[in-house]
Amino acid sequence: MKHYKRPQCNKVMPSRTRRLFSRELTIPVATSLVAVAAWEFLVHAGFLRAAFFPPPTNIVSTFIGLAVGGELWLHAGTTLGRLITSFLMALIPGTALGLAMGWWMGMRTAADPLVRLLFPIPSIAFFPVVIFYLGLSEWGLLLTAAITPFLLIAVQSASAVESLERTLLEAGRNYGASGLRLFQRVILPAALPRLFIGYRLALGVGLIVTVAVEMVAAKHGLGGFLWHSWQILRIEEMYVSLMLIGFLGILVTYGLEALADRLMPWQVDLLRLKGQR
Amino acid sequence: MAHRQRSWRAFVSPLIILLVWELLAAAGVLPANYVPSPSQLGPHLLALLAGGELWRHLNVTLYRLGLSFVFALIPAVLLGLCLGMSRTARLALEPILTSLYAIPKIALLPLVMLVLGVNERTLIFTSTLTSFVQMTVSTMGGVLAVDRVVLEAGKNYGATGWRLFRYVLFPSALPDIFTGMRIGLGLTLVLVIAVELTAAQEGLGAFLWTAGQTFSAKNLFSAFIVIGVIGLALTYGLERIENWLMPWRERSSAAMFL
Amino acid sequence: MPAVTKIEIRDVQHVYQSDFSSVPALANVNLTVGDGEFVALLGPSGCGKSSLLRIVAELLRPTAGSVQIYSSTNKENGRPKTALVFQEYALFPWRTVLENVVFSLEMRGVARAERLAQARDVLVRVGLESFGAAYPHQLSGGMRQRVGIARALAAQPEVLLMDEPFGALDAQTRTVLQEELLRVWESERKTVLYVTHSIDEAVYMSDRVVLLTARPGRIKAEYSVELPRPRNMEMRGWNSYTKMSLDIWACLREEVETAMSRE
Repeated sequence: MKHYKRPQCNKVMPSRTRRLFSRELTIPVATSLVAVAAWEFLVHAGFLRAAFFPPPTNIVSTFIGLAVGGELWLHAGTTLGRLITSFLMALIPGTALGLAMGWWMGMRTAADPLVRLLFPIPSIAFFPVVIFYLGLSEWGLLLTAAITPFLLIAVQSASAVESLERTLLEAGRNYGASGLRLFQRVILPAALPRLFIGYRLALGVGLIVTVAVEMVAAKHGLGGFLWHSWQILRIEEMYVSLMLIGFLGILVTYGLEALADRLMPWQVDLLRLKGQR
Repeated sequence: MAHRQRSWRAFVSPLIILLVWELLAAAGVLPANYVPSPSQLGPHLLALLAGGELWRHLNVTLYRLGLSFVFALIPAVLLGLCLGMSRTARLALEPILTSLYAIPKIALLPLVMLVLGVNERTLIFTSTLTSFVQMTVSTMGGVLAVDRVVLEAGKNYGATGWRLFRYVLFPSALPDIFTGMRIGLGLTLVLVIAVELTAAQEGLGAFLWTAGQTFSAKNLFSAFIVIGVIGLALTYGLERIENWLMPWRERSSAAMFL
Repeated sequence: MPAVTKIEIRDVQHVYQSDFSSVPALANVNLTVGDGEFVALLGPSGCGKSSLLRIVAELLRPTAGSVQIYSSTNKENGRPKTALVFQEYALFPWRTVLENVVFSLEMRGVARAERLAQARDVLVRVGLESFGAAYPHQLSGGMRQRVGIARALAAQPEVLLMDEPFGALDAQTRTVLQEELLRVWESERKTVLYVTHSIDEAVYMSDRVVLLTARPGRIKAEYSVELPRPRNMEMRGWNSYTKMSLDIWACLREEVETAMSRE
């Protein structure tokens, strides 16, 4: 009886050190350093107005000052908290609704038109309507930041169920899974990759709305801090908050990816081969 | 046959909601000045449109949106194509592009206001930037996603250099370029309205905000509906255009932000 | 041939109903399969053979008629009636090979240690004992189908149902796997309903070839395969083999042409 050798998966990935010095890493790093250095130089040489474009070294020292002072973490934490809270507010009902829509035709006929009607509406437009009823409150902010993500997640979740391979369901049923167990052991894991696409989109929209609303109406939070810095013309602080907002976006995206990898370990190799990890 | 049935069904639940809303308002359950009924809203909206004020705001917003989109389109697609085709260029610009992509463009507004002043120019610049970044990234993604095998076939059957690009690579990337346009327009609209909310006198965002401030629920809902309609028209209108322009690919769904 | 009836398909008809059309897939199918018999279902594309298989698997309810599967021990022993092996493998991508094989035992509530041991045994039988921790996407097509077969065997069904299991594989892998399937089957001699559109495969593998007509499918003819077991490659060169294949093709041909002309 012919026996097979183990698939040589590790031969595909080069060693760690090799990857560190690959072009993938060195070129971006090099251009970043060059850009920052050029910026620094141009400001000191007088070609760039320091009032608009303070030298990176100043920005860094301002950052350190703020970081040590603690105020910065309050703002960053507030924004992060709002982002995560509104995301969860969107995720749980959204996934539930979407899965229901995908599975039951009745639910689909009822909810689909409403969802499709509402999700193209620019997310920020909900804000004045929401605060009309809830006033300028934290809940108002969170609710606004949760609406469009909720709709996006619902649409993607419904799609996830609809695009399930029929044979997977048949195999699940044929091998003894039914009802709740079919859902838990077959439908949910099969739909997970697609669900996460919706989550990724929702997070992106959530960040935009959170920052926008903070800029308009909040005292705490990076958006509010950014706006305030502009008003009192503390330019370095503006740049610091800008950096942190971008950093927050990247952090949250990576967090989601890490969670995805945790929940879907079978995809990790596949994604790595595709260059998406 | 199926289409007709499906599109008829699409109106049932919204109509039911409208009906329930109307009944609740008529029954007095909903406070009249806080939540206008559909039967009050309809005429009010029409009056606003007829009166011309709302039209003016609508035009301003659309103008800003359209201008930014048009400014950004060609440069973004060109840059995206270049970045997709040249690995070195892509890696070199990756840091700045990723940073810009990750930051909600509204956050860049204060900086732009600083340099360009608090005026229309700033708004157009920022919204153009929004469209630009999105479409560049999507275009680049589209080029990168072109199947190697398709390019090989093209080369094998005689398309090289420029012809490979024009007849093989570009059409392959087209669907993603359109997706980028769709997402770009959506994001730009959000940005324009967001800025209009507090920093502009004209535009649907400004009208919406004022309506809220002056406690005019009818104006509020009217503005919201108009904004919503624009969003819907952009999303589904573009979806139609995409499906018509590119019949060879699977039916595009507006929710495919991939 | 054992005379004990295992599967009785009686007057089965099936019509696919949708909002705007009704497609008759099967018309009046009557078939009896004996215990331990390997029956091949052969027919042109669209003749309903996959539907028939799903009806036997109780995944589809026929518009008319019934299917009875008799248990070998005549008492409730928890064993499932059928286990399906799919052309597209239908392995759960989120489970490792071992976890896939163990699935039906897990659903049945077999204790963990016991079910893992059973699954490992089956993996040995199909030659994949060192791949338990791999994910389906890491395996080749042939290996994935072995996992599919292992999963079905581990379920210990009364009847094994196979829906063109080697259809997605290249000819060489297919030949190898056919022999392996027969080898594994020999040791247990389960009742098998095997859907295929390859005459060669049908004759090579089975005890009886049942020919279905074009849509709506009904049984056109049955051929008893008298080749000795265990089967081997050489038999493909035998006169009786060739003659039977040609007979079947002569009969099948007109059905195929009917089906093709409809497209």
